Amino acid sequence: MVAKMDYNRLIAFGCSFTYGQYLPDDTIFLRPDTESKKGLVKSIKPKPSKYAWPNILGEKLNIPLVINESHCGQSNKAMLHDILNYKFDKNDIVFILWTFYDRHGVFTTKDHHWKINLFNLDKRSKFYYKYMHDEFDTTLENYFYFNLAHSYLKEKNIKHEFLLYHDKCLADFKWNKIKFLNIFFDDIRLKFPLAKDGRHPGIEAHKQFGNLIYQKYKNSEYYTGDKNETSLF
Amino acid sequence: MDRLVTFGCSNTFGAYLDDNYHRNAFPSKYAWPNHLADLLKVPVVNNSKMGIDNKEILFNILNYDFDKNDVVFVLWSYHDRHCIIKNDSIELIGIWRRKNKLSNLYYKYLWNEYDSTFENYLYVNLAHYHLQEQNIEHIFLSYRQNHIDLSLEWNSVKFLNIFFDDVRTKFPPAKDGLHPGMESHKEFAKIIYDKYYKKNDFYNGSKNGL
Repeated sequence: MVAKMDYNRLIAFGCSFTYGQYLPDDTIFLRPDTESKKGLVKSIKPKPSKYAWPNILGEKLNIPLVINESHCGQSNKAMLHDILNYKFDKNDIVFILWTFYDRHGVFTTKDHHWKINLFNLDKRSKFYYKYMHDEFDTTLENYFYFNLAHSYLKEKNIKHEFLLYHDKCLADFKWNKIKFLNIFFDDIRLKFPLAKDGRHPGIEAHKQFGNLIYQKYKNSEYYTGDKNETSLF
Repeated sequence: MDRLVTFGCSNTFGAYLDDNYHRNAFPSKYAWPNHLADLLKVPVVNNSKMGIDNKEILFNILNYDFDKNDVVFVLWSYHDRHCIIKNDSIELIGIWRRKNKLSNLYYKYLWNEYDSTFENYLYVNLAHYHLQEQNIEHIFLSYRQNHIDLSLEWNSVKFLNIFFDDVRTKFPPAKDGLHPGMESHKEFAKIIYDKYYKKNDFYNGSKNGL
């Protein structure tokens, strides 16, 4: 069981699955593109959804302030960069839902990076997937990110918990020091109605995920090779 | 200390020194790890590899079985190198391999100085935490002073205040005319010994002359 501790802030890092993209209050793709008539364009001031799992979890943990630092389309490398450059307070608790391994990013400055992902058709992304991307290498690099984030937060005495979207992301490196909470968002996503795009987790999935993270965290239940799915619902 | 364990690239391997200049098939007995081991009166395991980048150095450190009384010295390599670590092979990416399509396109499309610094500090810091958590004494060296970025607030690594490139240019080079020569390696080991064991002199922005 987790020792009682009063946290002032819950800081969440992640991708669109933490942001709550396509939930009813999502402002990103709601503004109609009236000029070109091509559909919907990005909102100027996007804001994470209040229905996303960090808010549910913050409520369950009775933490007064939830700061959702997720970004849609974020890579794990960019999340690590955000974490390393974040100003944490000693009474913060950090939850990170790491994203898909095949995403990558190249930083050009502290505040800007080229997003490399399978949806991009630019030369950089094409080159990356044709010549650079290798499953073993990508998994390895992602475990570098997880382990550095863990050691860094541990050294700063910041309580942190790591989550994976899917158990297929788990790998077995003998030097790995990370334990992931025994809950995977993809196991929940398809059990409830999806968000507006028909792919992302819907409101109920976020709610259920937030509740389950709370349970797993409270019971210090980490993945050890058995998902213990019977306890999901 | 029971054993000196070193990691690095050709500059730790002792490339093109008198005993291996034909093929660079094994780490040279004239390379700085051997000289340092002599000064410390301990055996040495030189785990360096020609052409290696810092990602692979980290990978090798993470997978190495250290003994609790090992002392580890790592001479980190050039920041502009990269590699792809596959299940059964490693593909090197380096400036000197620009005729290779992968290397050429990598520098054209993906390499960026800020990102390179970030990734290299990521590798160095992860190695540091890994060794620290195992209570393995470790000392990090940077080949060049301009690889060091003191502005990174999250960095936990200190480098010894000596840069091999500064020593290299003061003595005759190795047989390829580029790599540090025999005397450079010997002098570098002496300075490492002096800077770490006598002065505890780590780089903080001022080089403190050789």
